[in-house]
Amino acid sequence: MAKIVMKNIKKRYKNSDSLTVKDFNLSIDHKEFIVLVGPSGCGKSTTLRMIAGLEDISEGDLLIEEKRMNDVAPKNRDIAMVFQNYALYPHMTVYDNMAFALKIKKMNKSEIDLRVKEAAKILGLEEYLKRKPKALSGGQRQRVALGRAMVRNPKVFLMDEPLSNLDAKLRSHMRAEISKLHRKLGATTIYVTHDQTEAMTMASRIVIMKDGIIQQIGTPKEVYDRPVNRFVAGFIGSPSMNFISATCSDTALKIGDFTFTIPEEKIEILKSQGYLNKKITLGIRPEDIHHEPKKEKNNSNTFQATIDVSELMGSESLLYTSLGDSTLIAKVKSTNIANGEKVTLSIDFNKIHFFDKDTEEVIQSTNQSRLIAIS
Amino acid sequence: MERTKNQQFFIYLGVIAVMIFTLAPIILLIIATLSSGQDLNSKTLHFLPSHWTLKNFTDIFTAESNDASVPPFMQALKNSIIVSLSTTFLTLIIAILASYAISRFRFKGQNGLLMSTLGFRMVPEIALLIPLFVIFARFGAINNLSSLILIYTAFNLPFAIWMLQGFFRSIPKSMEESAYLDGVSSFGVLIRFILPISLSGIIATGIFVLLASWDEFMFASIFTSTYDSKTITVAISEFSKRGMVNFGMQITGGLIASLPPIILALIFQKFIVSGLSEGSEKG
Ligand SMILES: Nc1ncnc2c1ncn2[C@@H]1O[C@H](COP(=O)(O)OP(=O)(O)OP(=O)(O)O)[C@@H](O)[C@H]1O
Ligand SMILES: [Mg+2]
Repeated sequence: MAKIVMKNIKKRYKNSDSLTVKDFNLSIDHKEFIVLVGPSGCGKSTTLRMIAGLEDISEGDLLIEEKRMNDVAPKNRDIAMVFQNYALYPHMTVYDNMAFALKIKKMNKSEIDLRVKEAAKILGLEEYLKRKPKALSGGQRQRVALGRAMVRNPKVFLMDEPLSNLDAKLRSHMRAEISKLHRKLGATTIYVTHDQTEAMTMASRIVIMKDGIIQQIGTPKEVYDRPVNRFVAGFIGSPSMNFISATCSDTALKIGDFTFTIPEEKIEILKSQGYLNKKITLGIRPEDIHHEPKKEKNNSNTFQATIDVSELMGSESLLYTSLGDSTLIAKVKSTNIANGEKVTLSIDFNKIHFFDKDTEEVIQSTNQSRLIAIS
Repeated sequence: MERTKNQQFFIYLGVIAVMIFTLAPIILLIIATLSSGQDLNSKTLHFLPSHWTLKNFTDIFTAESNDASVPPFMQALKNSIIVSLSTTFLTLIIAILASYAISRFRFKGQNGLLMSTLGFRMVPEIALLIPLFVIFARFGAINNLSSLILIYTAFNLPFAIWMLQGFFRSIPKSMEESAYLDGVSSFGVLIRFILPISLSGIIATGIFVLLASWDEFMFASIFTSTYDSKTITVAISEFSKRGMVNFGMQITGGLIASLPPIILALIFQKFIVSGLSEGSEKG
């Protein structure tokens, strides 16, 4: 349970001439579950390691509970970290792995025993306490790593892609376990992941990074519904948002040879920002494109599409087609569409996004941007 | 793959051939130690002695030397034990600290340092024999077990450092970082984590060093000329003097000298098998 404030934090590695993390600003509240996402090499681990004290902070301030931590040794920051590769102590039993930090702190034996046993119970590790890590499966090792962090009851939990090597089933199980644990312990948590689902389901707020720069900070719903630029829009959501070149007059939206009527408010946004009759990038999420089996031709928001590939995902299908000169992915309910079939698709234009072609920033009405600035 | 009876037969045949090749000299050595001087010196060759005797063994441990420069066997054995154990201990301590620093911290001239230790190893020892002797003689440090220990340590360090830093590098860095976060100091990490995890590597390295200093003859023969300083290899060589060769004593001395390495190898066998660091990372 701790408030963490990061002010203008920068990181320059010794043997590198550019900044790996550029001006990182984030204020984390008690009990928050922050998820850091971004493409490989964008500086997520680096940021986490600076908070842990495993890397020096080149510039800026790190405050935990209002105390400046830049020069405090890792062990005095009251932080527990779960490493991507688990980093268990191979020469110690599971019990000793978990008890180790407490022994170092000279906590009394019965208290240690109590805590280790409790953590083992929560994580389902009771029968493995006497084993060495090498006699455990990947999932069990991962739980030991979690347990080792848990027993310390730290102010802050840092986790670097802790679930990345588990199979899908175990991953979803552990995801739920970690969320449950977080609700129970309430420790402020910063969690790095590549996984969409982890980010969307676990986070109280998501921080999206690219090239060492924060792109957007917001709740999962905010970053999904109101991405601030094309990068965030494409990064959050799976499959990715479709991006299509388009032009909009004050009556209709043109995509290639197709013309669509779109809601008045959407045109209003483009008008107020001066984008009418200019080339813009349209963003449409696959889930906002629907299949219209009844063939209401020439409706203002439908178009005829030839399905190149249809992928059955269970209760839904992914349809790969094209619109104008861009490929398009649609996520639809119907599951019996064959490859090469011609179907009618409709677009929910209430949910589309506009992006500037050059800056790739979102185009939004002035009061909407004010809303985002406040949040 | 299942092996046929025929294949198995040839495999065993091969194994037996190799065993005879390696074990025959040792068996002959043992038989010779149990033979009398007469049998050993006789012109006609016989495989088994005319009568068995333990005289060589009783002689080697009880015989007083009538030459003041030649130590009785027991004294030489003691000298060798002191020299090789001290060398091993000293080499390991220095090598552990040096390799840990080299494998974990980045500092200026790191590669140069590592390469120069290897380069030092490339110089033939005999080229250094005379210069070292001159230096040690100047300081009056001849006929001194400490001098031998110092020289052996210097010669074994490059090898030990290279071996150990390889073992240390294979330990994941994140495990150490985890230990730092758990509240352990740098030195604590070395003692509580690095040493126990690379114990097998350290013991293997230690055994190599021990054997090298136990077997060393060239430096020992030049640097020692007194009763108090001669090691077992030198003592054995001196069983044969000008005009007189005591085969029995020499062979028995050789057999006894080869026992400690064999015993050590048997005791530490299980440590020489690696694999203790398994399980720290993802499976
Ligand atoms: N010790 C280091 N010295 C120099 N550069 C480094 C060091 N560690 C990381 N980097 C560089 O800093 C950048 C960010 O690395 P970081 O590990 O933080 O990325 P990441 O976002 O965690 O990526 P991933 O998702 O692949 O784990 C990378 O370009 C990497 O090459
Ligand atoms: Mg990383």
